[in-house]
Amino acid sequence: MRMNLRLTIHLLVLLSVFGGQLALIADVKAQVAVKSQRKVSGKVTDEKNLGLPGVSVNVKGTSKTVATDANGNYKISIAEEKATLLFSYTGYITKEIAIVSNYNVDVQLSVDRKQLEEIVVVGYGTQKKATVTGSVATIKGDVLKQSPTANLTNAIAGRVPGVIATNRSGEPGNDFSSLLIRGKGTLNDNSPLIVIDGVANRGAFERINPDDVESISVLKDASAAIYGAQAANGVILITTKKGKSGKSTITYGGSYGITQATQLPKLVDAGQYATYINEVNDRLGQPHQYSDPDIQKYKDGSDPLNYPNTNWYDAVIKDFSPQYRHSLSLSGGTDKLEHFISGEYLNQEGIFHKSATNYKQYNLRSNISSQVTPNLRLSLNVSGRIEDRQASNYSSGNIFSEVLSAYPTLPAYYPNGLPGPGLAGGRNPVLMASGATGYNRVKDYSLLSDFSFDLKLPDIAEGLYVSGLAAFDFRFRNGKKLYDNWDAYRYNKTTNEYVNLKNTQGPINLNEDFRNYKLQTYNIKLGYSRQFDTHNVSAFVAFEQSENYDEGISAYRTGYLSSKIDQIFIGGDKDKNNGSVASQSARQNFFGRLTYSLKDKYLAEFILRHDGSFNFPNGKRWGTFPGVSVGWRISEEGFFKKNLAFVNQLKLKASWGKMGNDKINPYQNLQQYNLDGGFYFGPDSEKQQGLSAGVAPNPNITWEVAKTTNFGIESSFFKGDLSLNADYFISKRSSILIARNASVPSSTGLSGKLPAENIGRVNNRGVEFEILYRRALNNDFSFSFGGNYTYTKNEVVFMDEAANVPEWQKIQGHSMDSWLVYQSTGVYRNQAEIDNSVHLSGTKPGDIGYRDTNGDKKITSDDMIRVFEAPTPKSVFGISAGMEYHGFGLNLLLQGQGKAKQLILPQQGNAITPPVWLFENRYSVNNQNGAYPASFDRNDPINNRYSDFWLRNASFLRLKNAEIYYTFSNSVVSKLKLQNLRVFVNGSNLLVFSKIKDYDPELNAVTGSYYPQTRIISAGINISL
Amino acid sequence: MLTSISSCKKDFLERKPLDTYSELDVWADLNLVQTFVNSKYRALPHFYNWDKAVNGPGLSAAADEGYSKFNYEGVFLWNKGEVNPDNLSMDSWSGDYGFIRDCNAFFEKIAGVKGDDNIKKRMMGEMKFIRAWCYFNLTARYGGVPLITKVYSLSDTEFKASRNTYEECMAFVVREMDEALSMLPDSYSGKDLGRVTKGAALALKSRALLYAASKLNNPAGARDKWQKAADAAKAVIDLNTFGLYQGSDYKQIFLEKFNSEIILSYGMNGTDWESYLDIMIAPNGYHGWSVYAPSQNLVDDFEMSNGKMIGEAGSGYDPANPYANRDPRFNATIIYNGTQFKGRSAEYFKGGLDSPQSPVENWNASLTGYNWRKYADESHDMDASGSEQNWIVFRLAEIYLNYAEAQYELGNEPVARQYLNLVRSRSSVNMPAVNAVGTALIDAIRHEREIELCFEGHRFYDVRRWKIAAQTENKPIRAVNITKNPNGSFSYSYFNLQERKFLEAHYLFPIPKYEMQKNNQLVQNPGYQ
Repeated sequence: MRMNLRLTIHLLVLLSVFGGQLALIADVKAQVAVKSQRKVSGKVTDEKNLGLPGVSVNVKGTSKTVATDANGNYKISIAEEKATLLFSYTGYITKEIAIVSNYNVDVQLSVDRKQLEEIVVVGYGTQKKATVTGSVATIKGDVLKQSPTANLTNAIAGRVPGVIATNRSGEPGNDFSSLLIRGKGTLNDNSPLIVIDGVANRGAFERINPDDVESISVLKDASAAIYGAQAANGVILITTKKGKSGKSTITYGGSYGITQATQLPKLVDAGQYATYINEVNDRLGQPHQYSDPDIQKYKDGSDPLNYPNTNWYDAVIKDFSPQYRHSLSLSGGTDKLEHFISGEYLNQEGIFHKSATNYKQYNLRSNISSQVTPNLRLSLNVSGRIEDRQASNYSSGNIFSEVLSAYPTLPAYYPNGLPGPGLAGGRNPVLMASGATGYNRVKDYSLLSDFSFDLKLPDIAEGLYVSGLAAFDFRFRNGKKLYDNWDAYRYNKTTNEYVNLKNTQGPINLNEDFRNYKLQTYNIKLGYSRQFDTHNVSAFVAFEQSENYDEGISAYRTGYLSSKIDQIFIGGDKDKNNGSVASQSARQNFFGRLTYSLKDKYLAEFILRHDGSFNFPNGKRWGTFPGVSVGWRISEEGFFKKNLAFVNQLKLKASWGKMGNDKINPYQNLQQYNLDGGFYFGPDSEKQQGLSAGVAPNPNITWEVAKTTNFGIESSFFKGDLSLNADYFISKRSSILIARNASVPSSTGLSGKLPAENIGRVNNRGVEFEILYRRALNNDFSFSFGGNYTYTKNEVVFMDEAANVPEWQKIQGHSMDSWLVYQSTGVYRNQAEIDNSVHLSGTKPGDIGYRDTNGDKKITSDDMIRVFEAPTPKSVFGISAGMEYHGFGLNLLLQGQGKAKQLILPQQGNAITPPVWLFENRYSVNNQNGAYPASFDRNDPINNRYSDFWLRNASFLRLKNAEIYYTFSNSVVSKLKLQNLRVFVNGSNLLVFSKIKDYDPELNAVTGSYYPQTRIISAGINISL
Repeated sequence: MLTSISSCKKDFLERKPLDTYSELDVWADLNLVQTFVNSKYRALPHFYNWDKAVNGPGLSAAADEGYSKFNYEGVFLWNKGEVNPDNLSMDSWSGDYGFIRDCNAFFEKIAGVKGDDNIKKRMMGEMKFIRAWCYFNLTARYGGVPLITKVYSLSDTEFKASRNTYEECMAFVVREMDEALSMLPDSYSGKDLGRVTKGAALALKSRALLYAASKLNNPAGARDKWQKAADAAKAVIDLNTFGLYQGSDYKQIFLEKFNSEIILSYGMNGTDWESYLDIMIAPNGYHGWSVYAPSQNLVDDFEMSNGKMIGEAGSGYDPANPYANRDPRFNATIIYNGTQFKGRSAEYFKGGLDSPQSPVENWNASLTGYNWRKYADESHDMDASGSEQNWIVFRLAEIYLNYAEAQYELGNEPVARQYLNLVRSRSSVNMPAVNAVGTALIDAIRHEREIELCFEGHRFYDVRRWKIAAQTENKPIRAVNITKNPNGSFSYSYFNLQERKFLEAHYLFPIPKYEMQKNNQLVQNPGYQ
């Protein structure tokens, strides 16, 4: 280990020395001659002849650089007789003008539409897109804004090749998509590393104000190796907007939208339910619960008091709920100081009637940078946020499970308007969802700050710089949960009374917790970047360390006389409890990168990171992670330029890298003891504390290692109108941290006590394609059409499996995600079919039959097979289209997934009320050809089994986003003294096409009790002045 | 610079967990060791536990005395004869072995802990009891199991162990209890009340040896096994620490914590799910859930107060008034139509408050027409919190009946009758003495166990060890239908609520499939292959 560390340091030092020597040579060349000075001045304008501030004007081949002022004017002294001025500005094509005798040089820059000079944020720096050799996908902030979703992760779905985004819930505040980069490569945690403005592990990025996002980069291959030990699952880099010197711009954006569930199941009504349950009883040989006159009354609704008929989904969920958002930003600056300041307010309401669920978000950001001296730049980014989540004390999972389990024969409200009792304890889901039962309020406050400097050291060596960053992040959480007493009534038929259950709901109790987190990150980087003739070299070495500490306390009391004062101190003294938590983590690393290109044609990059994690014991703590990539821009070759001029870019690239993953519970090398529920002793059975042993220690625990190879092609044609990219990758993960739960017998007592061990191996491979065609026919009409497709397939090379598992149930050699199910042979139509087959005991006509896979004449779990498709799709795609005509614009994004399966058991878990499709097409005496089993309930041991009978194809195509907008013309805008005015209507999850109709096909809940995905339709305005 | 930073790295990355104790902390501090011991008591049987399956009521519903309408613990599998290595109900394999590992770890470390030797000794006794309970529980279910006393860790190369014989496991339980005797006190006071005593160790030994002597495990009827069982029961009696509860109200045995009859009970104070006793057994009309309910089969087995069975000539049983003049324990054990409970009569008649047609939460109505009264605390507000009465693990009446049974098998009928009649003659019961001889006497002893110990987790094992389950468990579970007549009287009719099926294999639990798959040295129990 120590050897390795030393080697790394040597390599890093060598790298910097190599860079330094080149610099020395360059310095000698630069000091050739000093001649008389002349002054050149002029104005730089954009395509609309407006002055462009902040344009860099450089005497080619020297360090002499000035910037244009607010009106685009510049002045520069030139010593050389023959000089060339370089005018460069981000997003514009750099112009070179030879200065012979002219002293006034006006220049018009044109926007770089081909984006070949586009800058891409990569780990610890930026690179020109044209010469990037890694597989890095980017998405611009303005694209994200086409979606009205409040959560940034949802705006990514379908946009980026290689990113699998799946949204499992639409609950405000928890409506994120989980992101996988190139599918799953490990049996352990597959989530990518998130880096915000150069700092890792600052928490989710999803709640950043979308208007603040400059770009999102996704590092998919060895380019992520710069993040070494945390890079194996890929890295997502979020860069926020910085101010631009020039005219100050104030921008307001506002939108108002409605949200609603995408797809909901239709459950049977009370009459159908009573019929169904009687049939269940018939099959069990038990007496009927409902008489025929009862059923008739449920059906005809003649006596809503005694025979209610409730559709609980309708009772609980309303048709649409509001969501609105305001944002304001100020951007601008001088050549010395640039600022971007913004604020956002977002409000999302839940889909319930009188919804207790509500999410509010407040974002503030101030990104300021100062060019203190020509060589020193300081930046300070500060952002603060409040995430205010309010909900019922019952979680949405509770509410939806109650919706599924409440009988349709119970009233949501009685005819006189009093709320019904629910199943038990007054848990009427309508009341639960409205917050009548209490509340759960969680506020998350975060303050993220990073201070960085960038010092050029031209006096030591041209191109040499030192930069560094210090980030201090503070997050604070306050949760408060009240379990209240509420009005819910039970109608007593015999006495004609409505009995309030308020006093039967148990004591009012309150739980409150506070937690704070502190993350400190420091890095320092010594770098060198320089162009020598046709050689371009850039390199750096760096050191970084980060440290996290968090702690929290909680308090609980019960026995409140009233909930009027919801404070801990006022609760009863009997059942009260305090808790606390604390944890810490630390990471330290050395890393560097060397990039070299020859004539911008032959490209190479070398990355090395030496990483230390607190997670592992001394001696197993440090890992070394190299990455190398090369590229060849064939399009820069002379023969190509000459003969295939329509090809603007054709780049072949290849990379290989080794990366790590340490996402496990920490300290598994130690035997730990945790406080547990304790036990009760003494005359009143007082609780006394107890201790439980944690996992058995694994002293050899260390990094998981991914070795990723990538081959890619990037191309663009017809002046950039058409671009085509493709990547093929293979990632081999070894030393995967998994516990041997499947093979170590329980008789060891180690069930649930096995630590993670470095034993798993997985190969993951896949392809990604991206195509984009865009064209501006004239100034008034432009359009674009694009698509991307990702297919990944992992194969488990080794995992822990029980020795006696039948061959057809093994995962090894297959994809890691699968359903383990019985193979159905269909619904038995008659007794003869049953008698002639191997069947489960107790099987009757109308039950599902199962295949005896192993032929032992018994149906046992050995007969289950694996279906290697899971809720996480193997392929995803996106199709985008856009057009703009005279200020009118349209953007569409279709998104979908393939090779995914979801099991939906309509009568399992809390489900009591069957869905209509199950009811209508059930097997019965009168419907012997029914597609579904005869009436059965959740205790049915035959039909509720996990079987392919209930396995559904979860592929879908959805209209993920659509946006129509109108940008007012310059003449209108300038009359209003505005810079820009735009109105829009947009939507997300607008339509979905799938074989799953009763739920959103993106669900991941076998029982269907979860907060559904939502559709959002929103209208808004953007004004800049 | 780089080297100077790297030299301090060791300290920077050396972190400790902040909210857990380390191994060194725990095994150096007797207080922490005691804390570790405390939560191991959760291995003992208790009222309800989602996953550990060491609960009494589930066992009750899996036997002919009861019914679990919501199929808690998956007891329908037992009821319908569908238990197999895939379909498990009340499997305790991995739960018990988890506790066993904790105990083994304790014994590996305790010698090195400094501190009061008396406390250490007592804790060793407690842990020996808990480990022995786990092995007893495992053998009662699975027969012989791997007898593991070492602590497995990752450095082990072999994790598989084959099954020890039933006799080896039982010998271990007995030896451990013999050793624990000198470590455990006779009684506790104050905050230690409820810990394992000498009496508890002897009681476990008594139950274990009774099981070991029974037909299931002693098919040849070896006399020395019965002698050991008798001696073990007598040892508890001879302690003279416990006495039958002689209060006037039999129900109070199950409500008063630590009364004279209790040898060991599981503490409850209303805070966890395992204390949701009252709500799970009470009728719907009182906002209970009727999760566990008595069967008509059990109801019919309560004698008349004159000591005759209801079908016997001269019993005085009146089908139109079936609950009158029964063994006083009937009224104390069962809530039936007309029972005065919590200030009103229970109403199981069609349309009554506690019937399936009730206007009150009728989905929670008992399907048998009865509820548990044993353990039901009438003063308890069941919506407010959990229950506070302890769940009984051992009580003296069981030991008397253990002794009676063993003495009968040894041929000492007078002693057997004496202890049987002690149970029947307590003042709150006061049933006529049994004078039967021969097989009629053993039938009476078995019948007494059915009545006296119902719902306490005995019946399930008793019918198995006596090898009579093929008869008792193959009968349908019956229930009552009551109609209120216009004149206020009631009509009773009976129906089969659930057909039951017992397979020969079900004398033992199956070794779970999940374990068979991992350990190819295990041999499955007969009938489950």
